[in-house]
Amino acid sequence: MISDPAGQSATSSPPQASVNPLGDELAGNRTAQPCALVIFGATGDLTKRKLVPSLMGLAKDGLLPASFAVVGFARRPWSDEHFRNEMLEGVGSFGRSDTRASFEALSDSFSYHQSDFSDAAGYERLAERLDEIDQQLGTKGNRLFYLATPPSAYSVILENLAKSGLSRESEGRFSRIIVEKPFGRDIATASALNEQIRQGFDENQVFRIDHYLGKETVQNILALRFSNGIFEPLWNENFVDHVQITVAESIGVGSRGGYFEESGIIRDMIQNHLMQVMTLIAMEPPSALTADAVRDEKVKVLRAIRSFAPEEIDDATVRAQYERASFEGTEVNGYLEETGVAADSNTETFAAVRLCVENWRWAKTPFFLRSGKRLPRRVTEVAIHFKQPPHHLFPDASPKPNVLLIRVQPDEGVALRFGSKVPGPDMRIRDVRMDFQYGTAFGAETADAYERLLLDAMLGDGTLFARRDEVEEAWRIVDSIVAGWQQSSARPATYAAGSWGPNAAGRLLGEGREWRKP
Amino acid sequence: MTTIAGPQLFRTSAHAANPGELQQALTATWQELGAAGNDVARAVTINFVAVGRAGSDGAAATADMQGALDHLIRRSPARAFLVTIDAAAARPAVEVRAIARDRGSSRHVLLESIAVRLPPSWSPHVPGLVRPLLINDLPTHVYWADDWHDSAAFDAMRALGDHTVVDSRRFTLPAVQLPELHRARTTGGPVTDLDWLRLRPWRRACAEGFERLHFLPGTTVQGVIRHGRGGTSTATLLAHWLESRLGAQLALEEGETPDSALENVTLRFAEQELEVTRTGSCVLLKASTPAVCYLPLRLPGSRGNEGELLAAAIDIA
Ligand SMILES: NC(=O)c1ccc[n+]([C@@H]2O[C@H](COP(=O)([O-])OP(=O)(O)OC[C@H]3O[C@@H](n4cnc5c(N)ncnc54)[C@H](OP(=O)(O)O)[C@@H]3O)[C@@H](O)[C@H]2O)c1
Repeated sequence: MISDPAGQSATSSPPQASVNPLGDELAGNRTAQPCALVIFGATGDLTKRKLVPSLMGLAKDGLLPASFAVVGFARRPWSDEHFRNEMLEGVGSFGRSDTRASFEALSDSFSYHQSDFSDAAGYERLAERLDEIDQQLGTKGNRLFYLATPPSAYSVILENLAKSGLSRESEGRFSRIIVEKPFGRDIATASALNEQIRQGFDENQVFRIDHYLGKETVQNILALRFSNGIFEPLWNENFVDHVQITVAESIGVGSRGGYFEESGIIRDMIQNHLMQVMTLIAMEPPSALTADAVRDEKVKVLRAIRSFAPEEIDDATVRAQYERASFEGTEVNGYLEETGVAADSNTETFAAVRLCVENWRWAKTPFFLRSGKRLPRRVTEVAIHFKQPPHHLFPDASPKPNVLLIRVQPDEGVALRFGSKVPGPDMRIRDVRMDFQYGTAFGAETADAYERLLLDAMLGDGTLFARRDEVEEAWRIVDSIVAGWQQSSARPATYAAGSWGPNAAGRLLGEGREWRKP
Repeated sequence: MTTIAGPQLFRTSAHAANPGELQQALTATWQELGAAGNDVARAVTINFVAVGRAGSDGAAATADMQGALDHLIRRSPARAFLVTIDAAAARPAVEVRAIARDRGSSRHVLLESIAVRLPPSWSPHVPGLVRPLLINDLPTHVYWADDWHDSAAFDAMRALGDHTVVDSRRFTLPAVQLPELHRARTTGGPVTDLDWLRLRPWRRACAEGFERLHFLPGTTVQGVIRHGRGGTSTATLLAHWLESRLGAQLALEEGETPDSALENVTLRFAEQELEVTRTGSCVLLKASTPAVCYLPLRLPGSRGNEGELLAAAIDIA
């Protein structure tokens, strides 16, 4: 309760606690508590294209708290009005259908706060502004900070949030922070960032975004594995020959050449998205669907993967760069010809790695992770390749091994490849596919990953966010690969833009296996 | 005639049949779906049975159901039975059609719709007509798209499914029928009232209002619910809820608007006031105490269309 009406506290006995007789209408579902969201970097691309349209998706579904405010924090001299107009434009262009109306209803709750990230006074004014908002809109002192800024700005913002006291939680009031990727560029920078976050925020106040975890089909991995009895008994080295995880993009580095030179595909995609998906595939069943129970199991998978010794790198990884080729009807640049890329760059635009999870379940089942730019199409999938039956009853048939395919994007769904008899007098076997399409069974318009993640952060549910130890373990593995590459005298292999990567990637799999061409 | 609707949706023509030939009509529909050599697969996730009555103008209560079904199947592809009891119908008539989504050479069936129009004497036969065609292993949702006039008929339909949906906005004697519905809810499988879902923004706004006020248990609350001319049932439903939760004394007032929506709710106690008003597609909450007058809050109103509410009711179940 925010105020005490006149007369209620006139007696000497302790004031009776006020109650909300309809409070259960606000609790028990997935509507978050009242809060103010402060977006650092509010004039940037992410805010306009993803964050605000996603908020309006939540509003449309009635999942935003009624007492809710957004404060945009950035440098440009924008007015509240200008900020609202920009956001409305973003919602119109990038939001789900019908979300403009949600923005129009909520636009009064959006305001703009101009300040440089390094200006301590800006945070004092922000704190005052947030107090006013609490009074006017009933946001109850709850704050959610979103770092939608270049990573170079994280440090100064974190320092100022801690100094100004804005990061501090007090009884019944939360203060949380969402941090965007990239989360460091190696284990040293990631732990330094974690340390700095720890100065102001406890781990349960921190939400490290990996938007892959917000995707319905990635969460469906948990549902598929743990809500069905038929898969789990097969989910181990006795039945699974190997697992392929692919995140392919058809675009090149475009105007982001300078940024990409510093990261490469291994830091940009494999350290986060692919390893996160892999942990969901490989983890043991958690004891409960709580943030720590799930993340405890995920981190155990990463811990079971040894760092690579430099001499193992050539055998366990492949790195490559795309070369000029005709792709989708036009001649496209090779990586070394892209703007911002050094002529002798060794940065990889394609990487494939073989990871061995050294535990009871997976000791003999390799996981192959592959990601690249300028591959034939944009696709993300997990393919579980099962072993052949132990005895070949049909000598004339050569069915391929069963594959359980989890398609994350596009055409989200699950498919199973199996052999079936071709109708006729003889016993011929052909591969057929049993196909479940997510969009068909559950409707076409699924929420953006950011919607789910923003809501979870407001609810304080960290299940779909990377915990500190997960991030650092993933960097440990990736650092050992990068170190091996740096020590190697060999240059990255090459592949034609629009192909499925270099031939060398094939040898990684070993005999009798081949990469899928999704 | 076969028409294509939307970029990927394929609608078959209507296949007429007698009640005894339903299976054949379904087969003919599937033959049409596969005529171009597509791989046809059923993607339905529920059985859906809607039962309504033709109005005095001859229009079926389930006629508007076709539009609602289009919404429903976006979320829950269905084998759907639309049963209309029609006093003007001389004999039973059945029409089967399907909607599928094309993906490459595959065709995924999203809706198999079986529209049945029956004279009232056929009412007792409805469960026997529907039951053999329900798809095994899928949940069955029954939608009672009618006024509440006969508890036995309701129970017979309800026994067909795992979950029943009603829309109490259709009730003509809400003061009597809502308690009947309440009793039904406590005796059998789950029952969802679409009008209760429609009231969600109002319930939420009232609850938000109390977050701002200082309410002590036992305080007497007085209030008024103003509703459009067709909205007595909706207002009664909200009043029952508020009375049971607050011990409130509420008056219902009929307002000016012709529709069935609520116009305004005002609750007062101990010099405090909470007011919720419909404004366009939103509801506006105002709350004040002697010490503070809060900025008005706008909450999204109910999207309200029958198909979306049905989809939500089925999701919740
Ligand atoms: N864009 C995407 O789709 C996307 C997707 C995934 C992850 N991300 C991550 O999200 C983060 C933000 O990306 P973005 O594309 O939105 O970046 P951006 O467009 O470059 O925006 C940067 C924002 O930071 C503000 N800013 C920078 N320095 C500042 C300072 N000293 N004081 C105050 N404001 C300052 C800018 O404000 P002014 O313009 O007012 O100076 C601007 O609002 C990055 O970490 C990125 O990796 C982005």
